[in-house]
Amino acid sequence: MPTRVWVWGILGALAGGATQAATICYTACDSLDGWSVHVLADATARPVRDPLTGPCVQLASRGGTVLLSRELPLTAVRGCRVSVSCLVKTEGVVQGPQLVSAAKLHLAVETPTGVKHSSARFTGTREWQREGFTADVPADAQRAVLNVGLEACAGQMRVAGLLVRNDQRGVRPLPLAAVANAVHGQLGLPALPSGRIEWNGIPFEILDAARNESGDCLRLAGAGREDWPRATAAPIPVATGATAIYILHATLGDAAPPAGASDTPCAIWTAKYVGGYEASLSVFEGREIGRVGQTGEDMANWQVAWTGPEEAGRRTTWGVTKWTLYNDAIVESVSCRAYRGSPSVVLALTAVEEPAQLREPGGELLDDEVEGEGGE
Amino acid sequence: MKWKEKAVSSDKSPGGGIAGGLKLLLLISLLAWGTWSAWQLRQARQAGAALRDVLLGQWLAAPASPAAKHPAVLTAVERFGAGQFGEAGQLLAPAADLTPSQQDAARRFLGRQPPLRQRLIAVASAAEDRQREGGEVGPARAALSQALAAAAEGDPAAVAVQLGAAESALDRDRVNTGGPGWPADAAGVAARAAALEPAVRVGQDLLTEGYAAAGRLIGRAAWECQAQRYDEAAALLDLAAGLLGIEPVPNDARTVPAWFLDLAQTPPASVEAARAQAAVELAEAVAQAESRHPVVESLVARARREFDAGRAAEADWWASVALAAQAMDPQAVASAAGGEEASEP
Repeated sequence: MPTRVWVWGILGALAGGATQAATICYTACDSLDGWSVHVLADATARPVRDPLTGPCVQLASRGGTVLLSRELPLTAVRGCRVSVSCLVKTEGVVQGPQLVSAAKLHLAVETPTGVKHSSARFTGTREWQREGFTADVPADAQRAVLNVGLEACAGQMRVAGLLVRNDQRGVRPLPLAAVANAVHGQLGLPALPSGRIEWNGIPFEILDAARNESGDCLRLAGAGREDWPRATAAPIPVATGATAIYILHATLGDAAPPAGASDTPCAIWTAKYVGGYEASLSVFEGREIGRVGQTGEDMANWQVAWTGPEEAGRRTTWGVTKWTLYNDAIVESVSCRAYRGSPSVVLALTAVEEPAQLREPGGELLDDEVEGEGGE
Repeated sequence: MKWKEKAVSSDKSPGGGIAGGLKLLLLISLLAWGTWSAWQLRQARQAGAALRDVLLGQWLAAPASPAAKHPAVLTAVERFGAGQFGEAGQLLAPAADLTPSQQDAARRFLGRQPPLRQRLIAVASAAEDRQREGGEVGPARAALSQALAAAAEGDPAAVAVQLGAAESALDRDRVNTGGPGWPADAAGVAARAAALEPAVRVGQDLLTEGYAAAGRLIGRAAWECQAQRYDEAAALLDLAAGLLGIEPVPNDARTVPAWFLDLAQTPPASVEAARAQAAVELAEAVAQAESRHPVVESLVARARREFDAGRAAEADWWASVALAAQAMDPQAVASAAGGEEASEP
């Protein structure tokens, strides 16, 4: 799924009433979709491919203005400290009439008492660097507009990997619809939690098979179910930073579960970050996952979150596994594949992003650090 | 019955008949003179309007024409067309060296008129600075000479007109927008507003940084336009275009658009001199450190000139616009001035 769609998914979710978000917006800048493009005089904006970053957007101006703009959801920025960062490359940018007439990342916040500007501005020629700034958005903000581009100046600018975060905890159920491959009835499961359930403050959204053609859960092959899919059919898009992903799942199987943790994982989850880095979680039976019909006891990293009504002397139990992630970068997607052991069934995934350490611009520049000129 | 007796008496007196005839003759003469004067005034106004059209035509055809280089000429013709012949004469009168007695008279007059004296000194100082920078100051100096001549005559209105012409000349010399040389009348303001409209829309929709200062100039221009001070409105719009980096393109607009008038911002009524001084000094310091662009320099120079002329509110306003153009936070401006917190409207 293209990144641009993910971005709008995030913004759509935020606009839908969520009040928390660590990652407000992320785009690889592989297209102009999602941006409103404003051009004055001799200026252009177009997606190109850069040898270093891959897809990016190139903006060029001969004394005119070209700005990519989007409104940020007020629910995600009001009363928050917001960080805006982006990979930027400039070439021959000459300042225009005003000090602010330059290449820039710019956040404008309209309040009842006026407009508050925060920006990082660039002139001259510079190679790719992550640039940005932080801004405190007043609680009475009426509009928050993000602008990227060249304002009343000449030169060329390339942008990629634009990221906007706030200092709040972000909790975001991940979309499982595209990879669901079974209806619980097919699996011999009489009961399943439905709709939105919450465990320890973490929400999980369970698919409704009546509304999703591909089913309400994800099944993966295992002992006795070798014909089931061995991996997710496609990566599950995340497009946000995440400090942990919570998995609501359980194993199926006729054989008795192993005593204690098994020696080999029954499934392996993989998170792919922007930039190509990957992180994995091996799911061991008896430690990271329990059986559907188990007595309901918690394990080291699998805590029972939902227990169904007793039928034929058995209860259906589903538990939650916490997958801790240690990289501050944006998680592009997650996927899962079966390994050895019992077949597993996944009902829902939720990404949680704890507040990022928002650093002030400045200091030695590292790849993921934020730096810029200008400011509020 | 008394009135009847008097009337009868009057009708029958031979001397009264002569007086009545004289009165009638006087009345007819007055009517004729009034009609003749009105006709002459009308003719003069028509001539003024025709002359203005000719000059405007020259200006439009050749922005580098003498008329364009000497805005005082156009101003004088506009005054002429409006029937303000005295002011027009002052504007058009050749600049001549004042005799010692005239110089004394001018000095005494200006000593009694501190605001005009301050304003004259400010314009003269600005003209000197401009000359040192290599700018054209001929029209401004000519207007200053006329102002001194008017001061020697003891005519405050004429002095003010000439000083205004000198100030306009300095501003126009500094800011060359490269546009099609629109006149400084209602149609010229309409054309300027139409040319700026796309940039205004972008500035408002995107809340751009560049619009913070330019928007204030445009708002003030709209206010001046509402008051039918088209020359000032045109100058403000030229400055706004310069700040936005807009090269105005020709258009057919002839009527000032409503959206433009809706942007009108009333200038501040009064500001303490200390606050204005702090703002002007801050604007000058920031300009020296950060920007040498002619448009921003023009804003700073105008702020200084207004302050030197004793107009604190105007000085503060121009300084705040100059600071906004240099990305200065309004709160920083307010704290520098030691006054109330300000914000972009």
